[in-house]
Amino acid sequence: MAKIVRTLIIACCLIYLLAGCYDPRELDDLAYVIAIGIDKGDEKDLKVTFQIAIPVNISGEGSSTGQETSTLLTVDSNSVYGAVSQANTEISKEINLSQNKMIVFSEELAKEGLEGYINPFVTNKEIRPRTSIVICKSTAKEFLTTITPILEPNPARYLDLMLSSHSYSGFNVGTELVDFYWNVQSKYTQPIAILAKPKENSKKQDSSSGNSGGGGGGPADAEESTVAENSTPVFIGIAAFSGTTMVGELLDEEVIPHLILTNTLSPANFEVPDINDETKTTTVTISQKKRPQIELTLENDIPKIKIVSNVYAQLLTTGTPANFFEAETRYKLAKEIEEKLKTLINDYLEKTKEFKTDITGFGKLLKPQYWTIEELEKIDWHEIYPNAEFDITVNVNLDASQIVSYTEETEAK
Amino acid sequence: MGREHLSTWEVVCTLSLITLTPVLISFPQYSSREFGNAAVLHSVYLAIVVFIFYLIILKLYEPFAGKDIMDIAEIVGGKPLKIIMSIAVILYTFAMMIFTMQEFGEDIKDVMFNHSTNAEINILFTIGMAFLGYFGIRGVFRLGTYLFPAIVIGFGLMFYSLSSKIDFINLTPVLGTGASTVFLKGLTQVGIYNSLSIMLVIAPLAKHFKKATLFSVLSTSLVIILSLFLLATIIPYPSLNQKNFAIFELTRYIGFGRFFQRLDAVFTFFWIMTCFVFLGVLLIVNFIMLKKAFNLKYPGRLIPCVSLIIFTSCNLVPSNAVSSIARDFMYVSLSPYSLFLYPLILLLLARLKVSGRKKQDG
Repeated sequence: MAKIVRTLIIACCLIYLLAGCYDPRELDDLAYVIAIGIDKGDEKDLKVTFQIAIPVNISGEGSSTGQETSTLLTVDSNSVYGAVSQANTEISKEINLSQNKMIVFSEELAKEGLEGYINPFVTNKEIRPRTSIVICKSTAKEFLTTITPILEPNPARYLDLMLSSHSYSGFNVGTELVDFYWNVQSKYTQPIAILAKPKENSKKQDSSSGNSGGGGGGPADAEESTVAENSTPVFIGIAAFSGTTMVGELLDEEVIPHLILTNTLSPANFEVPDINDETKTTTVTISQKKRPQIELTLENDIPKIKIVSNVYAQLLTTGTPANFFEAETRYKLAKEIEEKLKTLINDYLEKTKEFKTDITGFGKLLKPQYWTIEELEKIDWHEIYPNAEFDITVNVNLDASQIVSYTEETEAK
Repeated sequence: MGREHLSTWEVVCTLSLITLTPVLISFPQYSSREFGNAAVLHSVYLAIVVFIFYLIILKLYEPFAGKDIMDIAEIVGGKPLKIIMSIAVILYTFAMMIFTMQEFGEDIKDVMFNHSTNAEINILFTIGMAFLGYFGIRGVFRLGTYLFPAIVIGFGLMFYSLSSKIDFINLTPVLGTGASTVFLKGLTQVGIYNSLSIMLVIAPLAKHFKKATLFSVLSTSLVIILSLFLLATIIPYPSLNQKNFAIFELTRYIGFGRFFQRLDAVFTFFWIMTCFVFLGVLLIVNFIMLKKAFNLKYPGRLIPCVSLIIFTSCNLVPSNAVSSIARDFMYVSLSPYSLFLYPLILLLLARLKVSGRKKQDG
């Protein structure tokens, strides 16, 4: 009896080895989406564009770069899942979202609110929680059309590298789907997204670079290929949200204060007017070795926020020769950097007040000041944040050791 | 199921693994919903309560070395109480196995096997459970011994990889939904430690009962506290309320650069093995009870039959939500009384009876 039972159990286990033959999902049968673009639809609510990798063009001897490595597919639908189903009926392979690197929303849609468009991505187990959220100043479709991997055959890796540029540029941020979702739900901090736009190039690209309009014979329109030839995608700053609605944008240098205050600043190049000649520029690399000290107190429902930020600046180039062995010169430059950073931080905070959104997350500092959620929830942080008063201190620790020593001959030159 | 002895290490590892199963499924979600940001504080509080409780239990247990809880029930109420108690425990473990298998199966199906049916997933768990049943108590505990260190390493990796996401502010306001909710209502959550009550069933098998119990209490407390700490500091309240299978969700955030990503598949294997051990141990506890209560000579022969009953019952549960509610009801409304208060009363009565007998004899 025991022998029969054992044999039966082993037989049952072996059944699982056959499962692969029953409903196999070969890699070749799947269409790997690497980016999704969502625009406001004309006939239906949404116009969803899928950028799909073409694996045969990525690997092997005949691997290529440019648009031949991916194709675009646009469908009209009332929902994201509906768009996936619709796309599945239009191509021979099954849409798979597991390699998706970013979700691009058009600015128009983001300003109307993304409620209902974020949840499907959060609940979908195929989509990685670390997928980036991008808001595009043009249409998402147009933005995806401009993505032309050059020097990198793998479009997914190209996007990965592009999206991680925040770790060395200082002019943009890294946002993840999961952070965006958590901040939407939070009452004490608000979400942000990467702000992007297709940048017009002055020079047309070589027509032999493979921009064949949607590459691989995909369904992208011919007119988009013209856009692709003339533009490249660039990340230009931060899209600030209040809940799921985009309420403002912070561009270029305005991003640096956000990075400093949220302690996410990676070493970034920073320009200040030269200490001797304001028409020239001195460049330093700024970084943070310590988290900024932020204190929040509430006085008659007016938030008073004291910020002390310690920035480490390494001198790279100066506009005019100067003797950085002298403490006074170093002090002057440090003051210059401090003043500029302070102004930038102040402008950034005033802008967030204007947008009525706390994207820095100052509100979280209220939480340790109360014992229970009930007490905390009596404060409407969203309501009182625009009345906040700031006291900003920036301390710059300047390192000028990399600059070659000042000599009289240098000055004479 | 012979007269094998279990080492302290085997007991500690396996009981800690069993405790991890409800933590994997819905306990963090439930805890966050009930106590808000105080979920970790609550888990620390419960750990202290459970530690004190088991110190008392061990003190009361001293004269009954080598006896399990059924022998003690027999001392107090004779054979009828022993049988009633065994049936109650068997029903409890049955329900626990059914609801856990159903809920875990559905969670796993949702994240990994979404092309399979619930029944197919349940078959997988049933076969695994039956196998472990044949391995016997020693085999299951040995498996736990191998698996637990791997899971500890996994947790270490999670801590390392996700350390940048840990935000201590998420643990505030310190008292969450309120002091009375955390410290009074929170006591009913003691059921999360129900794996420790297995100690009272395997008492005669443990080589060093007292040491194994104390280390198990410490180890299971650590498992619960650290899991909740990781979850509550990374997934802010109220987002954690909505996360079923929250630890799996955390593993999706793990990434070491661009190369090591998507480690959730590796972790899922360990979570499935954890569930196997959970089901296997409960199955064996059932047979120990059956053997003791009804003097069965070969209870192992019931394994296919019992597995089939569990599998069938599991398929009758309409949805994950029902399982979750049922398991929460068992943890909150049954476990504190049946697995903690009842053994305490039983031991007190047994002590009184034994000392009374001694007085009569002396």
